[in-house]
Amino acid sequence: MRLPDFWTGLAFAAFGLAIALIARGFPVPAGAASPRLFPTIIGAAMALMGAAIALRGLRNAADFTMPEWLGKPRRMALMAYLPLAIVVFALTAPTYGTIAVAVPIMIVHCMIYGLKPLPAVAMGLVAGTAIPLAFSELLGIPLPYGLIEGLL
Amino acid sequence: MDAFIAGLDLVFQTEVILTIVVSALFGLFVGMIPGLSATMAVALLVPVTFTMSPVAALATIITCSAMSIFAGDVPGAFLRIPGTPSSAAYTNDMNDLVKAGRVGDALGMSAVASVLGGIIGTIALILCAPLLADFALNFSSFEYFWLALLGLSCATLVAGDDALKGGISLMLGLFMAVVGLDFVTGIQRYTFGNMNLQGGIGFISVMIGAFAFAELMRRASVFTGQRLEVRLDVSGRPMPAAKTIWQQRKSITRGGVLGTLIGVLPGAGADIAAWVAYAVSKRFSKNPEQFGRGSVEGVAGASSANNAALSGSYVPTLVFGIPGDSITAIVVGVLILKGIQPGPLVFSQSADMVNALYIIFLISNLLLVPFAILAIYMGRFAISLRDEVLYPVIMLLCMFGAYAVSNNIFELWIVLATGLLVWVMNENDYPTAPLILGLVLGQVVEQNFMSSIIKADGNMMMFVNRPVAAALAIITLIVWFFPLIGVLRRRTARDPATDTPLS
Amino acid sequence: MMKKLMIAAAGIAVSAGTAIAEYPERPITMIVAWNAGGGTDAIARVVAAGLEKELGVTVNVVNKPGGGGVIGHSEMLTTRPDGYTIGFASAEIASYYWAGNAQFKATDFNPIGLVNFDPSAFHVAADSEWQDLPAALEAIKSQPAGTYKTSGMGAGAAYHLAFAGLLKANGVDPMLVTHVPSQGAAPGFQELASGGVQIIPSSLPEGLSMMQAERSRPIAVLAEERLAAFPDVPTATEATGVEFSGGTWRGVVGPQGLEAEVAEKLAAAVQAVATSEEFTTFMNDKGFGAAAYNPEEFEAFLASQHTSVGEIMNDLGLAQRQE
Repeated sequence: MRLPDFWTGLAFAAFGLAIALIARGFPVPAGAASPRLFPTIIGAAMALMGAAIALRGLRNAADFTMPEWLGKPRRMALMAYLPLAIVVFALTAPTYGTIAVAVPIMIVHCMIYGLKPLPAVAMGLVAGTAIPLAFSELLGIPLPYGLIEGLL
Repeated sequence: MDAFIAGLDLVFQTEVILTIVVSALFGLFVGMIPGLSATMAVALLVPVTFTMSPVAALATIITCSAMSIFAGDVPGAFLRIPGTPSSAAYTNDMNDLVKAGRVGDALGMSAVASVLGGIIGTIALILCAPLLADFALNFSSFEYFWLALLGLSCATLVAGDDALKGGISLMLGLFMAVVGLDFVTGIQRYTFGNMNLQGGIGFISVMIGAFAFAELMRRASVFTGQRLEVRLDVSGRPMPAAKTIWQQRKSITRGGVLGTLIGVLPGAGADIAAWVAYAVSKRFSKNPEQFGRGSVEGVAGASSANNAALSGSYVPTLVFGIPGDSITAIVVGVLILKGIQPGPLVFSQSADMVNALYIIFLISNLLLVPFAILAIYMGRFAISLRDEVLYPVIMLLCMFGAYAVSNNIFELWIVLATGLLVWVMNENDYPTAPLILGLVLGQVVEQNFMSSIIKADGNMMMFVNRPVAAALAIITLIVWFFPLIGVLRRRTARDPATDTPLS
Repeated sequence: MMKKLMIAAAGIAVSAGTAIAEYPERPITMIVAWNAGGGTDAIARVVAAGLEKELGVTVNVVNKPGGGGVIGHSEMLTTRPDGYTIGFASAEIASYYWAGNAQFKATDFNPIGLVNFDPSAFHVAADSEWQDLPAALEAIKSQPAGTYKTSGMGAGAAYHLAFAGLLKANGVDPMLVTHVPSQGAAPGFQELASGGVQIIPSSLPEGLSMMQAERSRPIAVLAEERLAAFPDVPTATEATGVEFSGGTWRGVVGPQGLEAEVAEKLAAAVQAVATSEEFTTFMNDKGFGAAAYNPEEFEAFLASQHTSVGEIMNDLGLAQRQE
């Protein structure tokens, strides 16, 4: 996702400005060192550097190059799947348990990568149960069990 | 000498030797999983140590931490995803070396340097613990402030080609460090009322997002579906040639000494040591242009430093009960639970214990070599797996690793947000390393600055009127402004007509 | 694994058979709002081991760190009140509300039993001119504000508040002493040794290493009576004649709405653990102060903590709420 420097610089300049402006709103208790100081410096520096990048890239502001992956369905599916998998995991794992969610996430991921359904299901079942079990039994991490709570 | 033999007696027991081997394997396993740090490996072992003898408990912690610090290099070398934060400084170098078929020069060198660095640190611990501890105790917030600022200047060395973009990345890391409850006043900053953000943005989750998730995104975007016959040439020897090791002697020694000194300072551990040693190696190198593109020198210096820092951090821990880093903070707790009060008396009251500790340090460092070869073969096996199996597994490991940071689903949202952000940034040539550096050092800089200001009642002269503080201040200012002068000089010397802007 | 399987199977069988089974019938989870390896975690694990013996089921300690302890503590309140998830709370729950970091108050917790009280102490550098507490208080009173500084903990931490309370009880304005925040006692003692601050109000065991290294010296302990391990350190009450004690504490809590029978059973078990020889030996050996408050005493203690912490935080300008 190659964007012209002008726009990324501008985005960071705006972000830095927002950091600095929000910092102005922090309460400053009497006598103590100000909690505004550092965020203001950081925000201002980011805004300045962002502006410098934007200025430097002003000439090429319109040079959008289409990313290579555009129009390549498998790549786009994979790239959409990665963030989606995290969202699904974060939203459903606490209720349904990590194994119940990890197995389908693994299966679908393998299949988008082009694995045939049978090996994909096998991989999903193996990795989707082995990894959660390793974390909960070997490392002692209290993972939510959810649906299969009764079995463990 | 009697105490030394008593120490040997304590160590060479079936229970202790067995725990050393088991915890070495455990450390190897945890360290290789992206995001799980050495500190976390040790924290996970604490409940287990409750039932052990004091020597076995210490052996567990020391071996596990030494092993996981090294193991963090393995996924870094093969997949460009560092396993622990202290490997992040030289991940690109390792990966480029492996891509060039030089596994031995990357991981083998890192293993050898880790062993040598660890031994340098241990010798320093044995010979001059009280002396070094006195040196560290003279550091107050003023000195730490300058030191952290000096550490931030490493950003210019890891920033890559575009200083401005590196600067933005650094600022972003510093910004992430200020999110949460303010250290001095306890007010909330940039939490927007979210309870999960009060404690700040978790460093490990950012690591997983910035390295692992962003890397998976990048690989997805270039996925071709073609099966490469050999993805990487990993047929080379797992260990570097003796000649190569000899060539790196300076780099390894420098890293070991630096790492020990940084480890001795309370609050600064292996992570910071690796960054500083990498930056210093670059500064002294004859081939600084190779750094970030497969420099054996960088790998040797930094991996020597992070293992040396582990040993160094035991100096203030043993002498004053002041932990040198997050791992020894846990060690202090375990020691006290075992009825051993760290402090000056520990050397006379528990001399056999202290000697046992030295011996364990030496053993666990020497054990690194066989375990490193094992890890290299495991890594080779993993890399020989097909994309469609390997990457989904890594993805799952990242999600579980992030959850394990604080047993909290919120960490996954941090992985997602930083992962996407860093991926877009990388696509546009904004480097990742300064962001991690900013996050590591941000709080150290701010907290020590604020503490200093409070102590000094606003008198800025206090920042430079202690000898060590003044010296550090001068070094910092030179390091900050020297490159600027250099750039200006080059600018004026160059013909403006052929001068192309940096991009 | 096998054990878990059997317990789970037994649990299913029992809950399927009778509606009201004898509590507890399956493993209990005890939340700790701090990381594994810290002081609270260590005590929690010993308490959990004791509870396992008393109740006959596994008691798992689960660390839920983050948010300065707010996340774990708030989960203790919002968990299902079935007695199978309880919490091991620390003194911080009295200050979250006043600092504006959480909506819950210390009095919102269901007190089951307090097991630990660590009194704050008054540490000075080894070469300090203060030999006793009255001399120190006199010096603080007579010098301009900010001359003397404390460190060793974050602003508003239990020991910091105890120290401010001590000053207030003795008629000294707590604002006269500036607090330099630090993460934990160790960096604070380092500041003391390097001359950056003059007073560390951490507990006595936390200062033991530095005392042994002859870098620091305690001149008083803010406890009701002298500690057995430190018989030479006078209490603040002895030294000044003004009664005052303060420090940090830890105890087992639950969410509101526990069934009376469950709450009683838990409270009895916690009492048994807190008074057991195993527990008190552990606490004495490790330098923690053992205590055993029953639910009524704990409840009264939480109520008094809530008001006194609110007052002192307002005096120090650390509070985001008045009331």
